[in-house]
Amino acid sequence: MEGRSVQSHSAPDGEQFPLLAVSELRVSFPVGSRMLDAVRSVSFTVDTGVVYALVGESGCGKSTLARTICGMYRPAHGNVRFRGIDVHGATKNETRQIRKALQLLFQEALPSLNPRHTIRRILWEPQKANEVSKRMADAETAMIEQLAAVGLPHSTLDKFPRDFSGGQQQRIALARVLLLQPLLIIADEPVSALDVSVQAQVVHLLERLRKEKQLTYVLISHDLPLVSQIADHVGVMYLGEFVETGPARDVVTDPLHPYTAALRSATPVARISEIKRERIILRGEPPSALDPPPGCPFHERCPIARSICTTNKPHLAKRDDRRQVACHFPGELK
Amino acid sequence: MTESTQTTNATVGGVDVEDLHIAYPTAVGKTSVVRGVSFAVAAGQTLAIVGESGAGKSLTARSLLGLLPAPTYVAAGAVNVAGTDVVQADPRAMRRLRGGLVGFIPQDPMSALNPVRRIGVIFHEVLSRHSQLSGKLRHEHISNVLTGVGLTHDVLSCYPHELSGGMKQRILIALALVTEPSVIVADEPTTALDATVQAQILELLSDRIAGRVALILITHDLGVAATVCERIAIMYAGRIVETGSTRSLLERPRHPYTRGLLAAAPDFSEGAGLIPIPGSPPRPTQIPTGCAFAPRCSRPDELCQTMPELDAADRGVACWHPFD
Repeated sequence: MEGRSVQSHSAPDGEQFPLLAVSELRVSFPVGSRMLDAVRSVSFTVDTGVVYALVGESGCGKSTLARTICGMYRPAHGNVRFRGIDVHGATKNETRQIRKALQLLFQEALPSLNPRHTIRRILWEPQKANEVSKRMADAETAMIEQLAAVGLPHSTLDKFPRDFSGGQQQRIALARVLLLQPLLIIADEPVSALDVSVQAQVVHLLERLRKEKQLTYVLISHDLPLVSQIADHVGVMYLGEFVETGPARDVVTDPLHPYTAALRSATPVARISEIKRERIILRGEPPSALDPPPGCPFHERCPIARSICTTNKPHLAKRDDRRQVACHFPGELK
Repeated sequence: MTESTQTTNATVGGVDVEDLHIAYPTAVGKTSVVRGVSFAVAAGQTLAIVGESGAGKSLTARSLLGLLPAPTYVAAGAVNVAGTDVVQADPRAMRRLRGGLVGFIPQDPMSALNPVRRIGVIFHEVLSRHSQLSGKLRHEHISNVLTGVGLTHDVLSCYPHELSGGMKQRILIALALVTEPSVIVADEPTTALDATVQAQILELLSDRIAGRVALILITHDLGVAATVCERIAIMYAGRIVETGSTRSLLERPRHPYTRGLLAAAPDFSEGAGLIPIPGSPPRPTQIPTGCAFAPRCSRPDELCQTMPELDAADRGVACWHPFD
């Protein structure tokens, strides 16, 4: 048991496992009499201290992937290992530890905060449930410290969620997560509901906490500029699969897959140089995951698709030691 | 020099808003949400009104159609849209205006279409109120408009749930265009859409609609505004704090808030963006006297206790200490 402790940073065999390892994951849901593969085959690893971004449009499977990592869905195939332990095959005791060490941060904080509870109670309940603290009074100091760490005053404790702005609510949600001393935070669009001027504040806070507490983030986002600024690695998803992975800055500035190139090109940025830029405009919308097209799943919308793309599915292949792409003609569309 | 001609044009086919105040009643009087907004958009021109939540941009847009949600009301000012005085107009005149002379493109295409009506029925409903066309001519007209937004007339027999989000937004744009309006108001038309679909709709707006009508685009996204519109007005706490051509605003932002917004938004160049503006936008009940941005500003002084006015209508800034 000792060697498999989720919390222990110095487990004898701990360091040979990455913090998070997802391998050949498939997640399916029944739709009528058929099965829909929301995630078709995804593998990646995340090391401690890294920001790994999952990028893609709605329906690409990124949220399903995140929820499966947390153990909310069971995979149809493959597995998720957290510090070497299979999340879906863990013992009761391990599961309890994993749930504490692996926390979720949602796009909108307000629906995750009980409107009838004070912030004190909101911050305390997960600590009670996870046996971090037995009595609310004991946790008071820790709560005040944690609120200060996210930039909120002591007086926050006696107020209610509605007394705070969107940015402050997100800070409260973050404080609640941090009180459990997690190792990995899965952040699902954590700033996209916030005003632009406030977004940057929360992003900086997330960055600072990562450095101070050696945190690891899996960041789910559709915001490519944001990802290029704060993520270390990125996986671009299309129809339940990665079409491109690699260091975030490289992938965004020099996309190899035409879908990444189109996403990059489609993003409106308020800069003079961007106004009259020629854009890659994709036709149509992502196909249904119930009826994925034959060949490359992207070929129907791809500006550079050729006949091979309609019949042969390209597999995610190494481009160099850091980047992978699933395309017959990588790097052709700029 | 063109100021007077612009106003005349605007009164004929465009939009002319003069010192607009929008408020809601409270126990002790009223709270102002929009506090003295003026702008003019002539036929063929495009204006983006950009602001964060609570800036009053959506209320300003809705007031153009006389669709302010209760209990907000126009407390002062004049709103002239396509030759109609919206503040004074009777309900009949407003019905002629809405969906007729003024097209409206809403934010959420999912909830804007009646789910139990086929798309064709919705088009006929609009045209039977606002057009003389009937029979074959009407059908041809609808088909032409649908082609213009990248759809075929097959969609007419569909129910909204059979269409994707992007197609629904195209339908709503077609519905706004089908009565050949002279003004189109688009309220965050791409916020609910994915990036690649957003790009399609933005292309449609800038290639097919801008230039043909007076287009007013409401958005929180400066990038979207810059993609579609020639002019931008930045709103903060119910007032326009800076306005000008898109080019000059991006190249030479003068208001500290505009600068802050541009610096806060991430972009692709290494290390760029993500510089936060401290604090958050004020609630309507807590708008500071004087310059509303002063508490978040990096360079406030005593002068900022007095409210600054826009110094010009075409390239203006409302700040006592603007950047050059």
